[in-house]
Amino acid sequence: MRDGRPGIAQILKYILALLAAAYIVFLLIFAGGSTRAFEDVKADMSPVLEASDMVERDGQALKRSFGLNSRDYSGVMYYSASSALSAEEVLVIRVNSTDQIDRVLEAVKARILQRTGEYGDYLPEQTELLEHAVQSVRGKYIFFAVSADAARYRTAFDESL
Amino acid sequence: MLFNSISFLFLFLPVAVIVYYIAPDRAKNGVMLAASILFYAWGEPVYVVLLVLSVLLNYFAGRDIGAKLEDPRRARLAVAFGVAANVAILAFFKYYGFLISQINLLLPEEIPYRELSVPLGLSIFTLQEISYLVDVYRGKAQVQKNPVNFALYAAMFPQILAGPVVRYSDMERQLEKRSVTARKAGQGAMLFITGLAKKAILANSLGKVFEQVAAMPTGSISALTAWIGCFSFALQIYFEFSGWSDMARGLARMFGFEFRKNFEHPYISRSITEFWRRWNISLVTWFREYVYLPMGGNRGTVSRNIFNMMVVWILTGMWHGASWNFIVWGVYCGIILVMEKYVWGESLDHLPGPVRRIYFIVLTLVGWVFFFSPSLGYSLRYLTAMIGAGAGFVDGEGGFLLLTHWLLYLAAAAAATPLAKAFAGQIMGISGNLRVRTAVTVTLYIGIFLVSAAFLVTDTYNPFLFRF
Repeated sequence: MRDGRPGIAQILKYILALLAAAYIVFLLIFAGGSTRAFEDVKADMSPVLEASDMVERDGQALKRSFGLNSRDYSGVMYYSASSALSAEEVLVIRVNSTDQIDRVLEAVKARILQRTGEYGDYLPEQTELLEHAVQSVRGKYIFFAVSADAARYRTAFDESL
Repeated sequence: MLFNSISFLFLFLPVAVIVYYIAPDRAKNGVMLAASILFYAWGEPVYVVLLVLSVLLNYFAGRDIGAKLEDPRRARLAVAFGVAANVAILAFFKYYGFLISQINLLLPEEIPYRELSVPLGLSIFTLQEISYLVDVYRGKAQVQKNPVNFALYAAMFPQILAGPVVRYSDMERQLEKRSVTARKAGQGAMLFITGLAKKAILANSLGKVFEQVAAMPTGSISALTAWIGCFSFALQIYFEFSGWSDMARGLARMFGFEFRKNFEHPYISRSITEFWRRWNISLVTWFREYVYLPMGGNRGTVSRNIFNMMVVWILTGMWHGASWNFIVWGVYCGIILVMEKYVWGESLDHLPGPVRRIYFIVLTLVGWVFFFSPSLGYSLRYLTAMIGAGAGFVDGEGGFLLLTHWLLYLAAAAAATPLAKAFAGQIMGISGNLRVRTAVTVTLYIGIFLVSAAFLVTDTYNPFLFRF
């Protein structure tokens, strides 16, 4: 510091501290999760999903499809197409702790790879849906959708939080 | 991307090593920094921005401290700001959700709040950045004027996810000059493979046994089963932590960096004090250097020293996670350490060796119960089961677990002591001929690597036990 004026390092450290704080606020607003009860989130999203051709699935289907145990999480909502020829599915999970997030994301990744291999060149439109799958992690909520309406389902998810 | 993932082992690491070795010496830090940022962004595309901001903040904070060293008051304010900024970021991500959830328990109407997941490695790089700022302030290190070098120290991929916590003063010279040789690369690869085997083969296998026991209602667990579960966890967490540390040290050595050893066979200890000289040495050292000693350490009165120790151990517990069981675990460790220092430490030294080992094992296992329990209530129920108040002392489940996993426990127990290294040393030194010894060593480690890879392929998900 020269002549009582702050040096460039001092000014920049304050700017960067403010930027870090601003980024954290930005994340809270646009990527932060919610403490809303899972049942409320599900109640808001269900009408949107029920209007589609998908069917709500149970814990056994979750285990078969993703290798996840529904009882390990505080809330699970899983919809998938009634036909095996469609890759369409939507999964919303509320984890109990953030340590579980990576596990779910790995399972989703494995699911996409597996189904891409299954559909391959035979059903290129389904493979394209898988390539454009939508994922979102908002705090303890994880959203995953494979669908032509994935963006709409994602909006419904964001608005439900 | 994790060290034990197929994409890291067969894609990222080979490419990073090749590009690093091809690069001229003056570009090596830049290459490694680029690899580190890519590595971090792969797993945390959102939080990589925060990592960059944190690194830049601390870089300029360090330069600011350096510019004020001749004025102690201004330097103190500058370091206080830097430390406070880092602690604020860490505390926000790790503890604000926990704090509000606890306040909500007391309020008639809950305060709604938004949650954010903890950025991977936040606890590691924050402690390292604090270490840098304080070392510069104390004059133990020079200000790092090269932003690439500083960023590399803070964000180096071998240790950013799970440690060890590397003090800046240990890295300072290595950032400027280090030797990168084929011999070191080979030693690094051996150390990495050792760590990979600890994680992929031992920790994951022990973890499956522990998960079986943890899935049972505590009221239906016999004492035998409870102790088997606890013993399995104790070994699992050791191989997880030490495995990741070995992988980190091995990777670092491949790139010419030397990290200090982080685990020194902690389970051969004969007291809790000794255990904490052998377990997660980098973390314990960090807390001693940057919390305990600045608070006064063991200077002053006995009561002041006890206070200092308890603060350190509460913070150590909290560092591991934001929940009451980690805090209780920290308090538990602190109390025993205080007792060993001021009450029964000398008496302990006079006890026969086997008695001391039993003392150590029982206290350590009880401590782990608090560590692995999802709640305090669960830990108390589990401890009750350990004394037979659950489903009696012995049951078929416990017997079955022992019968089907005795070889795993034997191997794990041997691997947790210096015996395993000595045995491996005997195999590698089997011949007086250097070429034969080299061939045996290479074959042994390739074999270990292949077996580890096979375990990884069959286990689809292999995270580190904790998210730091």
